[in-house]
Amino acid sequence: MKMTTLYGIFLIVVIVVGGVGFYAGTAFAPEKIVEKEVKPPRTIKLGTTMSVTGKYSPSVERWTALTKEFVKMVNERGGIYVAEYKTRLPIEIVVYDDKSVPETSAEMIERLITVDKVDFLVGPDWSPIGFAASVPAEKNKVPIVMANVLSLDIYKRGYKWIFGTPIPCAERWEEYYFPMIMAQTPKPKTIAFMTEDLLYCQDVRKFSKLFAEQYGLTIVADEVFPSGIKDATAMLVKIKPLNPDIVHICAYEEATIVIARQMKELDINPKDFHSIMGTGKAYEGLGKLGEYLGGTTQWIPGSPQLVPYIDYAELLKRADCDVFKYTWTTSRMSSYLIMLQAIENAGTLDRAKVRDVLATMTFNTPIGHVKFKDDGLARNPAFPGQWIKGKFVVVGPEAAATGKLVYPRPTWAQIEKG
Amino acid sequence: MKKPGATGKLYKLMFAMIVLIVVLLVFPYFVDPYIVSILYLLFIFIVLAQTFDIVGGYMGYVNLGHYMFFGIGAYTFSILIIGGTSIPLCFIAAIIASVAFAVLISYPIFRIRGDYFVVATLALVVLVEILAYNLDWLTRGSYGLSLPPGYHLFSCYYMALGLTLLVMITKYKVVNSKFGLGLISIREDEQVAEVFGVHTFKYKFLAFILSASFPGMAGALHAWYLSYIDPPTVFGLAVALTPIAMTLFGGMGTMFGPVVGVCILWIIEQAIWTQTEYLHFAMYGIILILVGIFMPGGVVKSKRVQALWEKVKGRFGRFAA
Amino acid sequence: MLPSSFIFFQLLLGGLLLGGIYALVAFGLSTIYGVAKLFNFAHGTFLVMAGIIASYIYFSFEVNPFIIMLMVAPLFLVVGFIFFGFFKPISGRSPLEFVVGTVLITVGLMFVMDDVSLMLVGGRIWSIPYSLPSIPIGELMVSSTRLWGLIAVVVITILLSLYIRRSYVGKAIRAATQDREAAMLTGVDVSKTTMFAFGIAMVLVAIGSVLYCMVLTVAPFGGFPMTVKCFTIVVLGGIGSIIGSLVGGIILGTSEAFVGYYFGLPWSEAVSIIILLIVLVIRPQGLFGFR
Repeated sequence: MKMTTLYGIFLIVVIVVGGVGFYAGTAFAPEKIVEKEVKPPRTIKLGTTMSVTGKYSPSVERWTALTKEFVKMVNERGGIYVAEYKTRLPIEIVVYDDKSVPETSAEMIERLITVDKVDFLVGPDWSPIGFAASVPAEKNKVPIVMANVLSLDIYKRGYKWIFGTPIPCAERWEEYYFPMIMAQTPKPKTIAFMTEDLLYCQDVRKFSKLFAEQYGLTIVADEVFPSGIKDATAMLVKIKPLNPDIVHICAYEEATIVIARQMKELDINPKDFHSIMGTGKAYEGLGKLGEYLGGTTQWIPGSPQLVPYIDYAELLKRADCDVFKYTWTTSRMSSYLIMLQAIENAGTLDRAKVRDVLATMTFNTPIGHVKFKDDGLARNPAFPGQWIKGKFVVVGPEAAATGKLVYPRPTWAQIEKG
Repeated sequence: MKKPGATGKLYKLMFAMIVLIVVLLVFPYFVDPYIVSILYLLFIFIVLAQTFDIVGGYMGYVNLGHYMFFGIGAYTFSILIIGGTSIPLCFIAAIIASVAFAVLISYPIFRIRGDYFVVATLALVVLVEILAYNLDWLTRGSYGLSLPPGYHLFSCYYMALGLTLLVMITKYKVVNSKFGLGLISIREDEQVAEVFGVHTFKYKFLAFILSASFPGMAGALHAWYLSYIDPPTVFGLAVALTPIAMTLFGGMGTMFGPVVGVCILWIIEQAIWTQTEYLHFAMYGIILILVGIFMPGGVVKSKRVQALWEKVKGRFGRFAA
Repeated sequence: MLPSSFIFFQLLLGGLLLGGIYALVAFGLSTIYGVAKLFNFAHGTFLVMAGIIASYIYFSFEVNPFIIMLMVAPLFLVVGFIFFGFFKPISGRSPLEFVVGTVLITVGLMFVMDDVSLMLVGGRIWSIPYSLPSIPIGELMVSSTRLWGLIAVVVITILLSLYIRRSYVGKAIRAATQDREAAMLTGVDVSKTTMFAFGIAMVLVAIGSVLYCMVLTVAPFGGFPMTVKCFTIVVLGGIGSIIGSLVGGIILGTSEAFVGYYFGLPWSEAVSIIILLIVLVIRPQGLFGFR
């Protein structure tokens, strides 16, 4: 046989494989949903991915320990009662590192479902990751309660098996901030927005602008900057002459720090300086300049806890997790608690039944009641606050406040002097 | 053991390949979808690695930005499919887009030689990522593109398999043809090659667009698989350097080097990932460093590995590539 | 309404001063490439490592950053020597293998350093929040930190240039950069010289990182984008030319500032790359390069 003929045959085989595979795959792909056998008493297995390494790792640092302590605490107290087995079952949470890469998370979710054979999924965090990870969950019909995943587009796809409990959600992020700030004297009139060009920041910006308009503020600037920005002068130079009363930053901590420093260099002194990620990390990174930085917190330590299975304050202590440093912790813990409550309420480990419970029931979390809307997204607000003398003081709403907002904000020069 | 003649060896190789292909064909029906998805990803990486090697290993132009063809294919496919175009057309468009891009930049980029070419191509992929963020009227910027959802793991697997086979055959033909010799001559000494009548620009151009076409298709396929892409997912430096590192590890300028590199590193990655909580990257890095110091030609070309391979050959009388 | 000259000068100043800091960091890359012909992909990561150490010292002991510079400099001199050690074994290989080897080694080192630092010091955002009041000149605000940075860079440039020109080691480095074989023929111990060059390069990175952290932040895995910027500066300024890197850094800083203003910040990131590509196509040896 001549070589060319052989190659020709090979080529044809290849094209046929590709073409046939395409149609065969779409027509005959078996619904490979892993079957769950109902065997007498076993462990409830939850699966999740966490951004242990990579760009989101600073926010996640204590969560591996936290997850371990959570499992320990729940099991110490006997586990979850599942009616189907007529007994309490212990829980287990399998954790993989998604390296802050969406694709990796999706792969690990696939693995959790098919290899580790988890019953249900909790987490992950962060919108881009949630976007990718929700796909295998939905395909395999495994209920997933995601944590800090707030981008609306994720929930607009008509998926039935995904839920998310970001705290706060984009629509309600600044819900308590604006009425609080508008009640100050002298009343602020103008606001400047600076947003990092990322999915989640853009979403919060969209709704914050709506709030601003609703409360009668004039938006004098609406700048968007790329991630990893080093020199904000181009942006700040436009803002300085406008002298905005409020400077509002929708960005991660690194950008918040860079912008704050450069605002100080250019001596831009708004009456209030607020960042959606005005977290403990931002405060740490700014040192002296971090005073009077405005931020948000999910949960206020000391507030009454209605949660079953654990003592939240105690859990945080055991895992050495400061909620002001790791601002997004409560959302993740809520996702765990919600899933467990759904299981108990459904009385079974049948995924479809648990999914139905998730869609309809109201759950107890450290921040209060959580109910998922039709699209699977829970809509909860958070509490605005300000860093005063090294402590994060919650300044709104009145019922929750632990202190008063320092307004107008001292100038950078004054802050530097101390 | 009888020493087989050249044709005999070739037939044995063909037979082995056919067996392998048949196994890969029926594989998905017997194993977990997770394994299928891993193999699928493996195929994608092999496609990227092999096409990188044609321009990098054989022609000597290390294109660090190789991944950009992948990303362009992914974005083209996604934009069109969201717009409602039929799937096969989207795939074809993806290939055309990445080839067109290659054509566009080939003239300026090949005026740059050697080390500078390496840096320039790296800069290119970073630039394309920035464009993906900024041209948000087209790409939806940081929001990313959400494709119509659907479960098509099997289709993706078979198409990736087909694509891989095609790449392997293409590479084989290139390597064993006059075209391939021309590429190697360019790598060895471009000026001399010119003098001897090798139309260097034509060769560079052809190799470049050839190496762009497959990643374009692979990118489209991957976008279809993930159902969601955003700039860092398809252009990010973290992923862009991976297939290249795998090729360097395996052995540039060889038929199977990139495949070996991809497979070994992939297995290691999968094994390490799930065993330890920390230090995955560090272990990966240590392997790269060790290979860099002791086997910079790549695993396949290192003398120790070749000595080992000789032993294996002696035992089984197989034809090594 | 403030006059637009305010905007112009403020942008110019901001860019100038930041560019100076970029240049300082890029000096190291230029030196290493000039002498050893290898692109150090881990360059930005060394910057991050030095920054984390400097930041840690600052947070733990409240030392003045300029003193911290004196502390990290000798440490990184040694780091440079060790770094050189990784490449010694492959220095004799063929060009293509050498390129491959260096890419693998530097990328591998990047991964190792990032991962280990992440595990050891965790996900903190490292920087040096040592701030000095800005100096108002008319309506312009001049950032003191950046100004010190620029002064430091200029001083270092002058000192470095003098050293390169006058001292034996400096001349040896220049010789090795221009023509390695010829240098060997004239009796220069190229290997030792290269080792020294690496050490000096790392010292520059360490000093630059302190200034960098005073203005910006560093974190594990955040080094690579800075490496790309340094590549741009080195290519723009010309391989092996210290002045070139300074000029390159300043050009980069200022064009980023102006493009950011007129076209929007998302495009300022593209500036460095477009400049790099244009230079490579039109004039690969850069502004002051040797070849």
